[in-house]
Amino acid sequence: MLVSRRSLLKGAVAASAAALATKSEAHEKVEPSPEAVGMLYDSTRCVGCRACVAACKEANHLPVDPSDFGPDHLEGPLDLSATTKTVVQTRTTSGGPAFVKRQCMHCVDPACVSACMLGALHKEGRGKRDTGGEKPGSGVVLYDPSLCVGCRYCQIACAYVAPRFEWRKAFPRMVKCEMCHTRRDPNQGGAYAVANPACCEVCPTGAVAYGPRSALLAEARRRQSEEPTRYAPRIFGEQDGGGTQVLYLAAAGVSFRDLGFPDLPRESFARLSERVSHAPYLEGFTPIALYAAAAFVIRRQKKHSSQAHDEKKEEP
Amino acid sequence: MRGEVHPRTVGGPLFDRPVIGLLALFAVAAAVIGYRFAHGIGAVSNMNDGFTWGIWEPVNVVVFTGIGAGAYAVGLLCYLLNRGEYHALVRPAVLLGAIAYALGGASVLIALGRYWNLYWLVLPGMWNLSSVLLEVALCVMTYVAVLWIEVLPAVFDRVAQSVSPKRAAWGRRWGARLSRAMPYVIASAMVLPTMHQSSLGGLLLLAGSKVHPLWHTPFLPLLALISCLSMGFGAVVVLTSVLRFTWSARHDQELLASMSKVNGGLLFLFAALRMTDIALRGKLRLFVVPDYHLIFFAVEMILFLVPAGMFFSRRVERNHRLLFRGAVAAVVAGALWRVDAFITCFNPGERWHYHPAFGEVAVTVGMAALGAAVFILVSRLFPVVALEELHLRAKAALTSRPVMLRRAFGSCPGGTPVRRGEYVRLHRVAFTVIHSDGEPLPSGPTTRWVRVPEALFLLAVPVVGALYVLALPVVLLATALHALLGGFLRAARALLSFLTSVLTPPWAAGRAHLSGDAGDDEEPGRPAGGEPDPQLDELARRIASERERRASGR
Repeated sequence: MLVSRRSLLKGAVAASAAALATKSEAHEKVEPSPEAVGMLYDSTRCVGCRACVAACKEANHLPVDPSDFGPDHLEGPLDLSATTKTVVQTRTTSGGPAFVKRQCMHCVDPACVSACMLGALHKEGRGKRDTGGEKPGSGVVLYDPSLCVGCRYCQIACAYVAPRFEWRKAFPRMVKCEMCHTRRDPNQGGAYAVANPACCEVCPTGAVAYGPRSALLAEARRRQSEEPTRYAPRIFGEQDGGGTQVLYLAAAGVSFRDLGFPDLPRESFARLSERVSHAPYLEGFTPIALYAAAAFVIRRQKKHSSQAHDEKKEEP
Repeated sequence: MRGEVHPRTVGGPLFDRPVIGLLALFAVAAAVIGYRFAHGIGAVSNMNDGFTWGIWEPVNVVVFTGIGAGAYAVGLLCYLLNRGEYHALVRPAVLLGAIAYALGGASVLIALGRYWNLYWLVLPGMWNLSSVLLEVALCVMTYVAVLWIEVLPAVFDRVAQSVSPKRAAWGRRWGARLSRAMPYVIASAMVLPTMHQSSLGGLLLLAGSKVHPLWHTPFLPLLALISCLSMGFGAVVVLTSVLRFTWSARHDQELLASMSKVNGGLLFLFAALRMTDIALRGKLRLFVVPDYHLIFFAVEMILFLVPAGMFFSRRVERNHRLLFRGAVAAVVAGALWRVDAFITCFNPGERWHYHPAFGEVAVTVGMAALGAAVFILVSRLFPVVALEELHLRAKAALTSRPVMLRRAFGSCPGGTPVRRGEYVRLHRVAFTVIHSDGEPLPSGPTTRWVRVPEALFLLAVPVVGALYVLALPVVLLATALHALLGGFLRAARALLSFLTSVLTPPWAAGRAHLSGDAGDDEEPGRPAGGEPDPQLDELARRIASERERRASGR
């Protein structure tokens, strides 16, 4: 750990004053940052070899846990878990069988980040503390275990149930894809200075590719326009739930619902939640005003009742 | 008649059967909790990444605090709307609230995976102000403290009733000081629940794709706030009724009925707001497709509307049983709405299934049992509950006969008139307060009571309490084993004695036996119920001596 607890404490105390002074701004619609990085997964190119799953386990030092393997053990893990940060699922869809790779979607406006009490889950460089070399703007959702209390509200919030919990450990952590943020190479330029996902590096067919989100979005559009009969017209993650930094292309005739994605509105739930929850507070004015009013009324009534009480006592 | 209400210490045995039973239930929970801390949450629960909160947060926090909102609801009526007549309900409601919220907080500690990181919460610089859960956590933590401060007047009252004039004066002085500060405490007790109860509903705003659309709406915070008030009012009526039956506590039907009318209005408001919201958002089409969610929706709506209608009926107003049932329905309605939104009608995706494991249920039940036990213990020791005047008068009538006062050093039997003060029964620990000189000790003459010096008593409460908490796991396992094994042993003994009596019946001449139950053949030869007949007795003696002679002759 690069940051000692002591310096962290100092920073926290200093920031405390600032936090109380700053007003929580109304949550505006979040646009992806220009430097945002992401992944593009093309379901039509995926052959289901699961090299990405193995590479992910190796890169993140995750054990092989056969308890979640499919019936023939060839598929490997069937779903994300505390030992599996990415998985390739075989799904039967209305357009025939299809593969889909799952991992954290690195939302543009993530519900988990809105949910997290202390910012253990945070956008790179926008957390309450730096876990070491974080650059703001990449948009990668990172996990800082030393700020996590294990409340698991992120799991309630995440529409994709991407964060997973170590249920069988006395001292558990949350586990989720951090886009191999630790494999980044500062000597290289561009996206590789931020992260270097092992799954993208190892993919033999180029079904999953890493790069700046804007470039990946352009690439996805190019593939769609070049082969309109091959691809479904939608790019999942462009707008869904406020947008994600991992983008998905599906084969023509395959719906994203069949691939296991939820139907999400264009507005992120983080925005909805913060809009609704913050509105009545009026930047913290309401509780103070309510308190003052309540204290005033209660005090006055207490005075009145004790006066009435005294008068009653004097009467007889 | 609504006069001044004086809450009294209930007194009586501290560890009677109900309390031991409740603590035994908690002992099971304590064992589960211990196992959870050693082996992880997954080892005792069926919680999974989809249903990540299981029943602990939805029931132990969201429902318990809804019930605990009685303190908030009655406080609003009593202090903000200046309805002083509700004052009698405040102390029990506040104690209920303090216990329910403390248990909610304790349950969170058990459910948190990485509880050792909690200390960050005290540093405002680390707060993520967007987090609804942060708001809930901070608010609930503060409110638990505020509620226990609100319980303090009962403690100071207790000291003010002290036998020693010095200590009584101290109690009165600090009681008065606290009472001057109370408006500011109570004001925060009005604001904090408004904030976190609405946020508890707001927690699910983020999970928009998972919560069924009939439950998910931007009105969730407002609905949660209304439902906590209705649950709170309901819980206070239920509590008052239960106290009346157990300790003949004061039970003002008229007062409860008029309070329930407010509750009825809230229940109607909730139902109307919810239906309007569903209609305006174009969700009415959801009612056309048959779906199991609709059953839950219908049950909820019935549970909201039936008590609402009941509370406005004249018949229910006068009948305390019906009012009690209505209040139970109101609590269940709010609880069901909360549980449905968090569990039953929460769908994290196709792969996820959940039903609570034994460990989870044991913890939830154990926590509720602990709450009930603490309520009983506190009201036995401190003036919280207003007892019925009749009950007090009956007690006073007993004491009015002229008596010699005993200066009780050493123990004295039950029924002895004694000096006022605190008395403890030796054998099965019981506690009583004698309020005036010459009042007799409770229970029969076979019990022995010892007077405890007040200073010792006041000192002993926290010390014994602390020791008790430290020894809790051991004590509780022992009581649980005792309760479990005791029942088992009694049953085994009864079975064995039955079997032996069947196998070797005590024969008696001239009688037929199907089984050798002891009750069947008491004193053979004496006609039941009749006068003893000297002729018959003579005959019996002769028969007996003849039998003896033959037996010895053989």
